[in-house]
Amino acid sequence: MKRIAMWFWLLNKRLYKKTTFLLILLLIPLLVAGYSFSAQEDSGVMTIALAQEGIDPLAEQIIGELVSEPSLVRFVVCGSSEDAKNMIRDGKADAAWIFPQKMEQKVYRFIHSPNRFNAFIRVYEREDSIPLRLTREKLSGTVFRFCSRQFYLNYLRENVPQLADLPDDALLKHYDDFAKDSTLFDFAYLDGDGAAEDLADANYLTTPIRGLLAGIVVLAGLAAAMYYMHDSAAGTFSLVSEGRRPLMEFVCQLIAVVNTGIVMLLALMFAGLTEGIGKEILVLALYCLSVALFCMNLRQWCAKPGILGGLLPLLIVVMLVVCPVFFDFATIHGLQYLFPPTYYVNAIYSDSYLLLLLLYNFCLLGLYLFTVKLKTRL
Amino acid sequence: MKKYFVLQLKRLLRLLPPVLIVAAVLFGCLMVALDAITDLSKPEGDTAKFKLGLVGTVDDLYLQLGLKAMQSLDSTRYSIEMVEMTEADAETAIRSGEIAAFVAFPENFLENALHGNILPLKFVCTTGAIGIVSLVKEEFTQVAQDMLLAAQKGIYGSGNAMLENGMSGAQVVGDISLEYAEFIFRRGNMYRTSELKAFDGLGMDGYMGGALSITLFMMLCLTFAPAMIRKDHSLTRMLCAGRRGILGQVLCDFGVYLLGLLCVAAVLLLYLAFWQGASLTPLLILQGLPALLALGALSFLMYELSSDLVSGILLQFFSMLALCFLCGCMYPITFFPESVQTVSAYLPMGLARLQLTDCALGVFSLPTTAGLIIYALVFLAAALSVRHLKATKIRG
Repeated sequence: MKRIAMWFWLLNKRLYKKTTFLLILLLIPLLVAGYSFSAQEDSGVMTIALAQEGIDPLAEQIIGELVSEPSLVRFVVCGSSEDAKNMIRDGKADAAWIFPQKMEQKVYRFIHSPNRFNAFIRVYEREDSIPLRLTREKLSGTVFRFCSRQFYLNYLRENVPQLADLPDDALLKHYDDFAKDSTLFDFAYLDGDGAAEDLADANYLTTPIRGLLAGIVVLAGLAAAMYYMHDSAAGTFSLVSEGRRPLMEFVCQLIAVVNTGIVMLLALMFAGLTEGIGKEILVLALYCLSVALFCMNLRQWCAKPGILGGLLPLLIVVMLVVCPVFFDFATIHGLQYLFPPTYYVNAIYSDSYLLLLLLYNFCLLGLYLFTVKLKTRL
Repeated sequence: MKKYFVLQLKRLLRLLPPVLIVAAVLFGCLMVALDAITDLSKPEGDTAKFKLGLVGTVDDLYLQLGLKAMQSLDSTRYSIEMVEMTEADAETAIRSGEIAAFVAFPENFLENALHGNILPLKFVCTTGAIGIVSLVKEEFTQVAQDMLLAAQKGIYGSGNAMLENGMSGAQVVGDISLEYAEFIFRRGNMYRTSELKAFDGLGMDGYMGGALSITLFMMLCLTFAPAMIRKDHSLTRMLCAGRRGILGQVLCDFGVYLLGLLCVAAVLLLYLAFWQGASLTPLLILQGLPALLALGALSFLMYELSSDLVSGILLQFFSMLALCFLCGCMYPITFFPESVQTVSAYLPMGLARLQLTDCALGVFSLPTTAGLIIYALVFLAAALSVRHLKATKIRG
């Protein structure tokens, strides 16, 4: 027991004496803090400039709603339509929505005859793209919501004279009371529980944090592999018998990965991005194991630290693209299963991925033992 | 120093073939990614479609009629394709990316709806983890939900108002629902769109092309590590003793490194010329040199700071990753708040990205070019100081 503790202490000390390892550990809280700070600031996937041609109460209401509602799109209010267009020209906005004067009249003329001749909002865009087409849905949806109530009242006043004696409040009561606080869609996930409440708090800037940190843990594992190769060549482990070298390598890897994993978990907790401490610890433990085994397998195929270092850019690019860190490309699902971050990112939300992670660990262990035996025979 | 330069060049040349192979692979992947970004962001005429799975509609005649009516409308026919399927098939289709989302109608949905009781529809658009795509899908689904709920309130509210006052609401409900349906289906007619070119007239594909080129270029700098990092400074010591100053050594080392980086940049230019069909003039290439100088000098400084291979690779990698991320070389910079955008415009990668944008647009920006040259000189000066310190330490 004393010997194990001594080895544990020495291996940790060996790691913490390396400045680069400390840099890796420092990068984690810096990344999380940076993302969290950015997420609190005013930002968006797209920026839309809003302006009015004159002073119009309906337009002001709509603009106020767009600006105050939490959204992936960032809305910026401009003093005039020319300012809004200049924002596009200067590259500060992706589109500009210009609302007219006497908007209410123009809206109801449109409702009665919804053709292009009655268009009343001018939209300027820097390019015709699918994301900008989607943002126009937000425009039409918001205008519709604001106008629907008044349209209902106007329709009844114009077409049902039998209700002329009723005050507006009495008619509007039926509109307001129907399906109050109800929803049309129940959002659900395929795996895990429906997590609509999680989405309300999610920010597009912080969503890839878990995937990025998982990638950093892999980098720490690769760094540990390179250090092990370097130290091994320098004779650091010469006292360890040949038979115990694989175990020594595994312990070296695991210590580096676990240290990084613990810092990662603390950073996620600090940023409020954890799901449940028990599950987080379980998934992290299995993930650290998978990363250690993954890096050990890679080391088997790279004779020198320089080769592993040279492969680092390729590995990172592939992992960031293939694994569901920023985007989940369903068409390359097969390739995703080769890399540890895929399992970590999904296992937090899905029990089936937790089992897959366990299976993945067994496969990696089997592959490692097979490779070692093959090399011994050769 | 000429012999020293030739010696360093020979060391680098041994490493160049595998470096160029890795460069070819990475930049090839970049070209594929750019084509994918172009396909994803630009609609082909009006035929860009989202596939939506529908579950639970097969057995209901009225739902079938309603859906067929929706599919025949121009506003939906060219943007959404609705595919009826079972729930199991829908789950498989979402996982494989065949459909963007599916909607499951509960049993007796229409019967309940006719009595004013709208049962919620199950909407599934993602497998599990919350990502940017799931946030986008759900925000825009929320827009659709709000519109439909507002229409329901008007339709059923008018019916309830009629019933409460002892009248049959059927005619009014029918007419008002047609008005609402007309408004929703023709909602695109409420605005008139025009394109307005930005001075930075690059689309998403142009932006990401420049940004990712910088990221990959910096990653490829790592592949030179075995030639650039030296633990043993005996050669430095010997040259200093022979009165061959550190400035000369540093300039020779940097010159050789720059030649290697030029070869890597040449691979990228070849891809741009033959894959993307870009027209590359000598002036354009010359305009990109300050960016290459600045980034190369930064990478060179990182190598000077390193004492062994492993530390060197990791220090360079993490610094590069952090800077590239902050400067909008992995995410569009507009995703970040104004404060971050302002800071990134003054960082080396940010300036390099702006320089590449200028190259693509065929404009020249003196501040950007000057900024890059200043950065290159500062990094070289810092590298010289580090080498001097190491040489002094050895002598001591």
